[in-house]
Amino acid sequence: MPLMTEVTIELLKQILVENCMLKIDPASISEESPLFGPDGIGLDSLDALQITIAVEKHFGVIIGDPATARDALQSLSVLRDWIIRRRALGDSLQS
Amino acid sequence: MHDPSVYDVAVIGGGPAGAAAGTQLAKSGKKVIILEKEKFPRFCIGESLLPHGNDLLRTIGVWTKLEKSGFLQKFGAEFCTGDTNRLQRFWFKQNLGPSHEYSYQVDRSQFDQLLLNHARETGCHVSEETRVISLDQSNPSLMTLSCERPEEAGGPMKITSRWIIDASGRYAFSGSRLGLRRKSTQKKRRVAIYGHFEGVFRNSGKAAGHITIVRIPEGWFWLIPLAGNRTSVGLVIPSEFAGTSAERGVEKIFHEMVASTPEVNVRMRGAVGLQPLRVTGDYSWKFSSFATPRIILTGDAAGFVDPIFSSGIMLALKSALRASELILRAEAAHRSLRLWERIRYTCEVTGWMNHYARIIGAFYDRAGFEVFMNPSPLLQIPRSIARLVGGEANPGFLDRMRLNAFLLICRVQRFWSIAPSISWLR
Repeated sequence: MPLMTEVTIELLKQILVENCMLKIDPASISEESPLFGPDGIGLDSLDALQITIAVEKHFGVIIGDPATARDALQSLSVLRDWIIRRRALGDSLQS
Repeated sequence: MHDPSVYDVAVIGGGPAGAAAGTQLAKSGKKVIILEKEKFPRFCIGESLLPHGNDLLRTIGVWTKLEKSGFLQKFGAEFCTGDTNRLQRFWFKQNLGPSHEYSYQVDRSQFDQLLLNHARETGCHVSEETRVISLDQSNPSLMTLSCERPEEAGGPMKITSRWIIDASGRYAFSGSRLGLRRKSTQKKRRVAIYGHFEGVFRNSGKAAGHITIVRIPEGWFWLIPLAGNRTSVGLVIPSEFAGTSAERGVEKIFHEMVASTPEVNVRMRGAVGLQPLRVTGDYSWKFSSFATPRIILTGDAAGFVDPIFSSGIMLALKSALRASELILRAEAAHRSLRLWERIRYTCEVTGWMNHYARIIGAFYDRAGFEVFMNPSPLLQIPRSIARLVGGEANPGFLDRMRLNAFLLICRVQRFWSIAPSISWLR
């Protein structure tokens, strides 16, 4: 099994910066900032797709359906917790 | 007149409702006794508070003590499906504003003790390990309660009082004795299987104190993080699932459901149960009336609302405060409760319960849950729902209209998918 990258907010933020056209200062994004929607940091559906692909590649989890992707990408902390749980679940399926 | 066993008010039950009512009455100079059947601290579930309940705790003067007690702060709630595919995390701040940004997840043994001690400090007599067994109303303005007590605590005793507040919880002392009609408020009978665990998964950051509700086809799980490393976990399922099996069978059902629900399974990996699981049956019901001329039913003793939205303690405190106001007003005029006061109290408390009941109905309905999991900003509906769920039990006209709109959308969803369907629950 490949070495597991630790899921940190910093790492997720870095993924965000590398894959999206951020219109705001990354430092102003908190764990709880909604990524999409009216109160969000202004990401669009193309950004969502980019992040989804990057997260799948980085952490070896499959996000699958669009509703799941939207839920998992609510905020950085939701995404972090979601990746951790999905990865743990993946392990149990293999063993 | 100076008989020490004659009280202005006898409160049956020393939980949050009883302690709150006792505190308010004692503060106004009434002679109050609280009769509690257990010896505190004692185990109890219903650990999750709502932000609007904070105001009630401020009213009784216990909020600052609570803030210093080291309970886990709760900034919101999250709802997910058992298959791990859907999750909505809500923040009180976004919907209720900064004044109601958080509440607490409380270990009930400590929380209830804190409230009962507070009642003691404001002047209530508190008698623990005292079980009220009968009520004599032959003199309606001076009722007598017969109580059982262990010999070492003084043995049996009789209490006479001019008013009774029934805060006996699900034990519902007076409802049955007064012959009030008891109605079920949900079509399906449900049971809860629950216990405290150590080592359950914690959310990161400020969401560590969020309550997690996991919806499964048969019912739902609650996961309530508590201070330290403990978590309250419970499963709510229709009674026919649990059957009439003994406690051992209950453990088996619980663990089988955990194993077949990935979202809970992964969160509980490595978790250790801290005591044998407990069961509570026969879920949502209420009495037809909550007051007689000199007896008022509060909290769970009046009716039990499905705990999905953590409304229990808030409704308990709210009804207890209203009951104490009614008694103080009547006392000032040297009279008992008028018919219209009793009807109004019953209607008011029923109204609070019904707001929850309507959203709870949507939650249990597959279509309703699909809409619930897709809070589109349409007409500010999600905000209204969040206000109701956050404990705003006196919603304005617009909030009520939005709730109606939400319930209408839920009905349409049954036939025509407005929100993405959740196949796992179908």
